[in-house]
Amino acid sequence: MIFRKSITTKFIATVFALLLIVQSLGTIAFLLYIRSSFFEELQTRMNNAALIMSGASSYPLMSYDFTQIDTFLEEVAKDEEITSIHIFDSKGKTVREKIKVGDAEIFSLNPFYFKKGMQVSAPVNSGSSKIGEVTIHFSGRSINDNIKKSMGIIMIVQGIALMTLGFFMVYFFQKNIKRPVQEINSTIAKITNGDLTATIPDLGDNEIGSIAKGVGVLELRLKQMIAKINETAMNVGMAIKRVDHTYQIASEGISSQAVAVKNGIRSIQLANKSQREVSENIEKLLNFSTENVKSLFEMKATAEEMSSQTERLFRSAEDSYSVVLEMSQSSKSISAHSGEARSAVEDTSASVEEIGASVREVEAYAIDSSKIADTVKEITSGVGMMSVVNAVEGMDSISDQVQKSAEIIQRLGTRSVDIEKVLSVIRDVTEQTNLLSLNAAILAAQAGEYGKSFSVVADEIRALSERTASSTRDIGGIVKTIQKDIKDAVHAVDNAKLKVDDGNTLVVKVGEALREILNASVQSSDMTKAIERATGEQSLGLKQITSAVEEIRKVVVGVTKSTKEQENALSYLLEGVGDVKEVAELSKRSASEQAEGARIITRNIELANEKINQINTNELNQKKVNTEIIDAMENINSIGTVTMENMEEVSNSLSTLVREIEALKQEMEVFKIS
Amino acid sequence: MAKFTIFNISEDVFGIDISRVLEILRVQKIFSIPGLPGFLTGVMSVRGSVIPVMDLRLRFGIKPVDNSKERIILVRYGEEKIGFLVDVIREILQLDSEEIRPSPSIFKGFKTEYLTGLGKKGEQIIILLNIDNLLTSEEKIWLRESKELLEDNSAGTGKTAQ
Repeated sequence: MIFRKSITTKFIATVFALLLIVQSLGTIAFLLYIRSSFFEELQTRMNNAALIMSGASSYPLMSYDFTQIDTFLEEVAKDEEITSIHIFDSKGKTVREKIKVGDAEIFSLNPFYFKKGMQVSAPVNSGSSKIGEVTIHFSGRSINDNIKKSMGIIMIVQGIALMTLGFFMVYFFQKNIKRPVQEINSTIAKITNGDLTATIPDLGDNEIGSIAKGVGVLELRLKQMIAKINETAMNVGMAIKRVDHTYQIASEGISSQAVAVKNGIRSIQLANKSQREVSENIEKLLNFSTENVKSLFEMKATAEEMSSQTERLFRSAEDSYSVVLEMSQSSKSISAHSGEARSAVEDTSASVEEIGASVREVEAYAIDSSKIADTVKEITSGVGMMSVVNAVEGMDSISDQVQKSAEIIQRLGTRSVDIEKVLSVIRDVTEQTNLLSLNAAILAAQAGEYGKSFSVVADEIRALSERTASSTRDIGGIVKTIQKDIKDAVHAVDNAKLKVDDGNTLVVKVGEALREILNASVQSSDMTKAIERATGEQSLGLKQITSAVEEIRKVVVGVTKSTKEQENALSYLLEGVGDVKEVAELSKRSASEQAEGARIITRNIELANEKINQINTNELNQKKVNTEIIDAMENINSIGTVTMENMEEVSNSLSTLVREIEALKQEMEVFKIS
Repeated sequence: MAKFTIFNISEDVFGIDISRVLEILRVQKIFSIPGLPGFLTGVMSVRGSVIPVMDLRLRFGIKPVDNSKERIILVRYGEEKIGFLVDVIREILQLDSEEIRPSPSIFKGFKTEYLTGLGKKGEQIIILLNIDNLLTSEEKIWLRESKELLEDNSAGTGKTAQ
């Protein structure tokens, strides 16, 4: 595996193969050159041999001295190269020949491809005429031997040379290239795995050294960038924590607002209850006062009747008096008039009875009236006033709660401004992260193959920063909505405040009206007491009248019975009638007093009635205002709910943000930078 | 197949080969210094070195509108660096070779020499800029020779920055 991958091995193998090819080609060329030069030499030698042979054989041939030729032949044939020598005469007939090796054998001696029939010829001359020819056949055996020998030597020498060269090359590559490259490789592998603390040693001032420096610079930039990203992530984390904190405060604010609003609504409900009580009491009062007026009217009528009856009584008494006077003056007509007097007395008695009944009625009415007035007084001063006080307190607590709501909402407003500030910090940080991720992507792309893993991280960071940006935009929108809600809530609270103020004024008015009613009913009560007293006195007077009339009747009966005793009885009668007159006058005074009292009472009752009606209208207004307050409170509550929902959305966005930042942190934890 | 930094100028979408991009920066204080040629908006200080800034919108005859997403793309120009002011950085995008087409003779009024081609990703047409042709030869010469001028002025700008 290593051998296939290593550039060094590949390079050395290629150089070896090239050297081998070049050396082989050189060797072949060299051998070819050697062969041709040897061959030329051989041919020259053979030519010379042929020439010597022909020169030497000219004479023996002429003289047919074949033994000498044979000796020559033997001598020349000693040369190893010569395979055969033939001597022909002028007619081409073989004269002598010496054959050492056959043609087949020659070929086996010639592995380096020499022509089979290598031969030289020389004419044998005698003078200028040709008398024969010498032909020598030869082989290239010595050349073959020589080539074989030199091939062996060349191979050995080349082998040694190549081995040495190879050894030096491997040594050089190991020392100067392979080891430094491996070091760079292992460092880059560490960096790729995220260990940015790995350092590259100084590898000298050559190409590999500059690559190492480049990797070092790249690593430094990566380190700086990761440190920046870490810092950014921490900033974002802190910012989010601040947002979270602010959000929690805002949340608490909203919850306490909700509680305040609930308290407000409860107070309003309490106030409403008090109001209802007031209303009920007032209705009761109204009923009572209607009854009162009815009773009073009846009483007034009875009193007036009584007054007229009393008048009649008075007149009757005066009549009686004048009659008695007349009687005393004309005793004669007494007797005649005694029947009349008796009927008049009886009339008087009936009238007095009637008056008595009327007075009793008046007394009963007065007692009723007094009781009613007392009840009114009690209701007005007791339950009524308490209800009013309750209502005022309720209104005050509503006002208080509304004020609290307003403060909380204002605080909420400032908090949302805080959130906006923090959001702008997050926006800034996000932009910076985005920029860093772009630069990281550029660096990764320029680092080529080794930057791939870092480029994945850069992409991830960019995606995160984009998600963060969109979350931040969402939160911004939500915060804007919250701010609008808060503005609405402030408006609603202001409205509620106005309504509460209106309610307060109305309650105070109701209180004043009740106080006036109280005054009026106290006065009425006093008056009815006076009437009661007057009717009591009247009753007493009437009893006296009744008894007087009874006496009169007895007297009249006595007069009728004994006209004789007339003169004696006359003075007595006069005295009795004077008593009657006195009592009648007292009765008359009491009746007119009573009538005056009834008039005052009526006026007071009418005043009270008017006030009660006024209270009733105020009450209705108050009810309307209360309904409006409840509406406003519910409005605040619903706005609070919406705000709460928005806050929850913010919370969700924040937790998304936190998760994203956590993810970013985890991404970054892969890198060790110190 | 290559990666591009994709950005907007007004409504149009552009791409610069990422191999030429050094960094993307937020818009920071840009100083105008005397002797600066018209095609540059000013210079800025990036980690101690002074880098000229050119507003790409002005080069394309588009009126710059104030926006908070303005960015500067720091680009390598031979030995020099230059910052291009653009509207919005969108993403780093990989375009396969079949997604890149040669530019037509004229596209949306941009001179053909500014373009290396048109990228198409879905419905989106991306104008791929040939940043070597964004500057005229004189401007390139100025940029090459400006180093000393910028270094001389850097001390002065440093003071103005404070």
